[in-house]
Amino acid sequence: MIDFIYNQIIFYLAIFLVMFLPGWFLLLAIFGKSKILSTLERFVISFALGLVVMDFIAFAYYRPHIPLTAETSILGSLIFSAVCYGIYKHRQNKAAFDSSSEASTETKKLFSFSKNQLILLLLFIFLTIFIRTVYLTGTVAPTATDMGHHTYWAKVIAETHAVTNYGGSPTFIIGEHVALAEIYMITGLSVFSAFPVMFLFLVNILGIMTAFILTIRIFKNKTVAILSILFLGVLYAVTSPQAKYISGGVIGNIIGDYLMPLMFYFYYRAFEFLREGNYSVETQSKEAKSFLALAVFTTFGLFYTHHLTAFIFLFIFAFLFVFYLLINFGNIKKIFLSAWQVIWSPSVMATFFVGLFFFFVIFTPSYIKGGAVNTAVGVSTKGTRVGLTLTNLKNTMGEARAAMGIIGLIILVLAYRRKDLGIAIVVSWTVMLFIMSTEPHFLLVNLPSDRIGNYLSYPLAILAAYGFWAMFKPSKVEWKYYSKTVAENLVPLTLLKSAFIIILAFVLIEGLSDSAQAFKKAPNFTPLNEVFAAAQYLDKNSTDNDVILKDHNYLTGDTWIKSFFMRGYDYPLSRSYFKRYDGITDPSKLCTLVMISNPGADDANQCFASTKTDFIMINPSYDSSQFVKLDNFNEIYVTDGVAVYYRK
Amino acid sequence: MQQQKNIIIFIIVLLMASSFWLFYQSNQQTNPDLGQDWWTLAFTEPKSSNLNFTITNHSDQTSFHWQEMENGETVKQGDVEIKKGANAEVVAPEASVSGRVDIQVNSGNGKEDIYKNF
Repeated sequence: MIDFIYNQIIFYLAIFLVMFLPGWFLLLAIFGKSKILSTLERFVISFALGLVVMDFIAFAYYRPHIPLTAETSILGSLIFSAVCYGIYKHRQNKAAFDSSSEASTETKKLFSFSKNQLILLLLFIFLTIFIRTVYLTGTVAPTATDMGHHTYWAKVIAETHAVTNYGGSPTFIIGEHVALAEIYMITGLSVFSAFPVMFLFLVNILGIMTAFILTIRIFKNKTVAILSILFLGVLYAVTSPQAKYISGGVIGNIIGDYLMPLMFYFYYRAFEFLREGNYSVETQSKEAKSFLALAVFTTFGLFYTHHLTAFIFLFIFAFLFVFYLLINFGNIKKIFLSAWQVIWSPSVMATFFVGLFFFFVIFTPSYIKGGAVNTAVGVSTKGTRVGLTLTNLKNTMGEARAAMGIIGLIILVLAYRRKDLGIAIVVSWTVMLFIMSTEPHFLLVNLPSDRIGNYLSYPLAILAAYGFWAMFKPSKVEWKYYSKTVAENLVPLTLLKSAFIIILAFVLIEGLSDSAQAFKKAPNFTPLNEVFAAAQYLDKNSTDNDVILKDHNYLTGDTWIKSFFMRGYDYPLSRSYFKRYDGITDPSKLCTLVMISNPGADDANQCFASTKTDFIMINPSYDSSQFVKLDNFNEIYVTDGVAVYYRK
Repeated sequence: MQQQKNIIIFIIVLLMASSFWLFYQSNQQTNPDLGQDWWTLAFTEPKSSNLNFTITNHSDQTSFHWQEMENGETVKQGDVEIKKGANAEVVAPEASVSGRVDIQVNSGNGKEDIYKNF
């Protein structure tokens, strides 16, 4: 028990050191204790900035061959924080932190909740965390394929004491693994423990809270922001990209869904002054530049973490740029002149060029060299990449959230401050993701459509929150074209109240039905433990000269066993899902299939000779009969769910 | 300010409680000796002609009966007691004929078999 509590404490300490501390001190150095950021915003933002800072520290260690260890990671975090503190003290002495009282007042106003609002906010936060916890209870065990791959790379970084280029593979990106590796090194916890899941859980919650602070800043409305947690955190809490992505170890997406809203937040706050219509930068120039520098910094962090999210961000950003200028066509010159004053500043330019220097000189992500960009662009004929139908999209997003989101979008476009930058961000975020996921050929996007569609849940949740609020709190909506609300004009109050109850019931029942999955009975973990026990046996009884082949179809948690061996990402060899072999004619690419499915055949014998495979791990319920009849195989290990054969 | 601090503390406490629970669950689920019922049979030296074998017990059964068979004929047998969470190595005679030598182990209703071909 004492060990357990010690592990918990050391885990929290590691999270504090490699995520929170450097981010918090970075904000302190930039903004001091200025009220331009609320306490809650500082808390939510610090973790993301800390993640990116620690990435850059790891890259800085790479060229001079400073080993990345627990000690150097902690030292890097502490030195960075100390330097930031020094900058803060220096700037404080020069009275550099004089944020406008207007900004402070607005922050105070936006983040002071009424009693009812506070209760609702805490209730939604509780449900957000509770439903995920219940779901993860049955899925926290190390079975997920993706998580198995990611934890292997985290271990590689920890064991080699350096960031890795993944052997040139564009599939993985360094920002996905630095924090995991550092937590692993600092805590000494096993990668098979709950810490990778807990790390992603934390990032997921922070991503939801980031959407909350973005919403509150854009809409200047606490109720809409609180409702955004309902639509993003409470409803559809299990389905992708929420709890299922956490347990599945979809690290890049989870971190991307934290960084992307945060980037919108920073870009929005950098150019927030454009919302008022006077396009004057004078009153907010200093903070605007700081926010833009942070936006650029976070953008580099995203490009170092997840290419899919970064790719999507570029499309949204391009759309936003064009869309915002179109709706403000008459003021383009003023906008450019004001924006240029923010962009062309030492802090922004320094961040940009230092980021570029790191990106192309110090440590370039493997996907840049690996040609991932080329494979993501073009017209695809694959069924999974030709776009989602509206029915697909409705199923992906959840019917209630999609419906309310569309209503919110329509109301927003028709009746809100249409020239506002914040609104333009939400609209661009939604519309571009909608186009990319339903009509990818328009933009020559060649990526899995459902993966893109999953990103829609964030802007749609914000829009659904706004739509729901706008429909039933009409007196507060700033309608432009009506003296009274549309609802008040169109329907009697009684009918409106009835509609509220019906729609609320529909939203809650439909949205929470997804969470029923969380309360299913936990699966049987015996197959998983049998596989791990067999892997430990093989690890003990084989050497680097032996080649192991295992089956991915019928063994639970098999992708994790590479972390027992640590003999390379592709070790052991794996018989993949059968459908993956469809259409393959090259015999060498069929080896992993035939060596298990038909080990006595001539082509299998050629494969055994060429790959030097001598150990085979399979599920005996499905694959033992073909080995039993061959006298050049010994069955050397068996339990109900796993058998290991040795080829003489 | 205090209100926001309370919200932050609320989030931290909830996440810590979740962490505590999930770590506990993970430990339980990946502990083969907790609430599980299986055992393994393996050759101690898989590559050599040695026929010694190891039984690792994660079940509630503690009595294991083993027999060594050469081409289907029993040449030696015995019993071994193994507590849950423990393992035992059994020294088996070398194969005396060419062909297949099986090690068969029974425990309760379970039976496992490993073999080497000579």
